[in-house]
Amino acid sequence: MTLYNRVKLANLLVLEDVKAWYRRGLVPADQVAAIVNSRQPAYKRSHVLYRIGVFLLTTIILYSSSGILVLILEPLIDDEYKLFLLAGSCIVFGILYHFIRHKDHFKSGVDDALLYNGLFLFITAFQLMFNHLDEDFLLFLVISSLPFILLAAVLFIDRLLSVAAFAGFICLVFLLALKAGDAGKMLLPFLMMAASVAVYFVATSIRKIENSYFWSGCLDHVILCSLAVFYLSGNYYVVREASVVLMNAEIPAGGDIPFAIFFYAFTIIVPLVYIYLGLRKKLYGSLNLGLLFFAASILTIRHYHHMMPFETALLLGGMFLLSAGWWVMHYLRTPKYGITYEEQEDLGETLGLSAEALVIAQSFGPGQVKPQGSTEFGGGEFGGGGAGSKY
Amino acid sequence: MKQTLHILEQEGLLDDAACSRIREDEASRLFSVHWHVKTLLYLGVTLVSAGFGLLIYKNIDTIGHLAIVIVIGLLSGGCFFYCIKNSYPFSRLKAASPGIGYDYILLLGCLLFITFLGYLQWQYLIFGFRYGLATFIPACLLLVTAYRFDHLGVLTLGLTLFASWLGLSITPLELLRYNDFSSERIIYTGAMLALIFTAVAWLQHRENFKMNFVFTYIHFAAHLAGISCLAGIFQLNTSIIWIPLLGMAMYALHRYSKHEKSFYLLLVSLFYGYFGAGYLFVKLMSVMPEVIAVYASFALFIGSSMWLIVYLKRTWKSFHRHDII
Repeated sequence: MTLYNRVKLANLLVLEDVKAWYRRGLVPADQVAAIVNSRQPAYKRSHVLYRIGVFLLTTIILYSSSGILVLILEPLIDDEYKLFLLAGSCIVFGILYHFIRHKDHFKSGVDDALLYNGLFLFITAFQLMFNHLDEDFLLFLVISSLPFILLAAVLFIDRLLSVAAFAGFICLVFLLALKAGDAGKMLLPFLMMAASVAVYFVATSIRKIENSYFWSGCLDHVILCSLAVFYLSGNYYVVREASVVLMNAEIPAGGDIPFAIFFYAFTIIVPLVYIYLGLRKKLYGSLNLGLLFFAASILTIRHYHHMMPFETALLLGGMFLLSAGWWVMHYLRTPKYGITYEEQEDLGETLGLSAEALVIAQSFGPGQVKPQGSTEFGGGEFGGGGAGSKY
Repeated sequence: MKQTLHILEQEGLLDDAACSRIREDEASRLFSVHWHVKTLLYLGVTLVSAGFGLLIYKNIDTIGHLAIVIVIGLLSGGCFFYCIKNSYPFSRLKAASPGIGYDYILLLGCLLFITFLGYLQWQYLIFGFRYGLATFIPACLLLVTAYRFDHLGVLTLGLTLFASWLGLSITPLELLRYNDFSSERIIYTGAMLALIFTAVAWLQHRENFKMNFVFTYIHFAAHLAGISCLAGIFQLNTSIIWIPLLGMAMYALHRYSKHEKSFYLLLVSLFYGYFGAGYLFVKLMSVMPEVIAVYASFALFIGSSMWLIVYLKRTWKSFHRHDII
C-alpha cells in the first residue's frame, strides 16, 4: 500500500543489485546494458547530498510561497488561521501527490520536504483545533498524531517517519504508565522493555512477509531502535535517575533502587549479547549497538563506583582498547567464522576527502588561536588528543 | 540479491558464467570489522594520550621535567624509527600503506613529537620568544612526514598547524567559532592561505604528484576563500572589492568542480555564491520602496530556489551521463 509506483520501485531494486555486482566486476558491461534496458521504467535514487540540498530549497520555496499567500489573503484569514493551516497542509499533500504520481519523484528531496512539512502543518493544525493545554496535553498529542505518522510512514515508505512512529509508540507507553500512578512508575522499566520486545517481534514477523519487501529498510530501522530502547530501559543509570526524578525518591547513601542487582546485570550482559548476536548473524546494527552500549555500561558503572583515579582509568581503558584492536587484527589475519578485518566495500572515501582526516585534525589539531601578546606560544593549545592540559 | 539473481537468470539476461561468478562472490563475502578495529584503535590512541598527559600533569613535581621530556622524545623517536624501517619507498603517486597499525604508529609519533616540542618550548623556552617558530617547525615536519609516508591525516594536521602559524584556525568546528572575522588581518590571512593552497594544488596537479592530496588542498582553499570573501563583504569597509573576488573565486571553483566531476565542490561554490548574490540583492532592495522590496524578495527566493533545483538536477545528470548504471 504505497503511493509510489511498485513496478518502478521493484525495477530500481533490481538495478541496484546489478550495480553492486557490476562495481565488483562480476557482470560484463553488455549484459548490464541489456538489463538496464529491460528494466525500464525505473525510479532513480538520488545521492544524499543532492537530496539534502533539494530538501532545503523546497522548504524555502514552500514557506516563501505561503508567506506571499498569507500576505495577500490576510484580510480573509483573520481569525480562521487554524482552518487555513489545515487547508494549507492539504494543498501541500496535493502537490506531493502530483509530484509523485505525475512527475516521477522518488526520494528526491522534493517529496521528502513536501511530506515532512505537510505532515508538520497538518499535525499542528489538528492540535491547535482539538488539543487543550491541560495535563493530558502530551497524551492527546501522541495519540492523535501517531496514526497519521504511521499512515504516512507506510504510504511513503519513509524511514524517518517509521522511527518517529516507533518513538511515538514508546512515548505512548511511557505516558500511559505514568498515568497509572505509582504502580506504573515502579514497573516502568519492565513495561518499556516489554513494549520494545513486542515491537521487535512484530517488526521481524512483518519483515518475513513477502509483500513487505519494499518496507524492509523501514522495518530494519525500527528493529534497531527497539533493540536500543530495550537496553536503555534497563540500563542502571537510566532506571536509577529516572526513578529519582519521577517518583521524587531520594536514594539514601549506601541504599539502592529496588532490583538493583537485576539492572546491574542487565546493563552488563545485554551489550555483550548484542555483540555476540551481531557477529554470529553478521548484522552490523546489532554489533554497533552492542559496542556502543558496552562503552555506556562501563561509564554507567564508573559513574556510581569510582574504582580508580581518572587518568589511570583513561590509560588503562586506552591500553585495553589498543590491545583489543591489535588482538582482533592478529586473530583475524586469516578470516575466521566468516569475519575479516580487511575492508570489504569502499565506504570510506565517498566524498574524496577522507572524513577520517578531518576527524584527526579536529581532535588532535591546534586549538583556539589566542590574540597577539599572549604568553602562550604562537599556535595556541596543543592537546595530546584532547588531554586539555598545557605543557 | 538471491531473488534478483534468480529472476535475471530465468529471463536469460545473465549468462551462466556471470551467474556462477555472482554465486561464488556472495558465498565468499566476509563480514568486515575493519572500521570497528579502526575505531577501537583511534579511541585507544586518544585515551592513552589523554591519560598519559593527565598523569604527567598531575605528577609533574615528582617525576621531573627532564625525565618526561626524554621519555616523550624517545617514544616519538621510536614511532618514527618503526615507520621508517617498515615503510614502502617514496612514490610520486598514492602509496599503499604497510598496514592499519602502521598508520596509527605514524600518527602517534607525530602527536608525541608535537607534544615533545611544545613541552620543550613551555618548560625550557627553546625557541625563546619566537612563538611563530615553535609552530612553524612542527608544521614543516608534519608536512614532510605526510608526503614521505603518504598519510592524509598527518597532512591535514600539518596544514592546520601551518595555518595556525599564520594565525588562523581552519579545522571545521573552529573556523567559525574561534576566529574574529571582523579583524581585517584574519580576512586577508584567510584569503592568502586560500591562494597558497590553490597554488600548491595546481602545481601538484600539473606535475601529477601525490594526486590524493590535491582534493584536501582544494577543499580547504574553497572554504577559506568562501568564508574570507563573505566576511570581507559583510564586515569590511573595503567590501566593494570582495564581491568580485568572491565571484571570481566561486566561479573558478565551479569550473574546477565541473572538470573534476565533484558534486560536493559544486555545492560549496553554489552555497557561498548564493550568499554573496543574496547580499547584493538585499542591498539593492534596501533602497527600494517597501512593497516592491518584500514581494521581490519572496519572488527571488522562490524563483532562485526553483532554478537551483533544476540546475542541480541537470548538473548531476551531466556528471553521470556516461555511467552505464
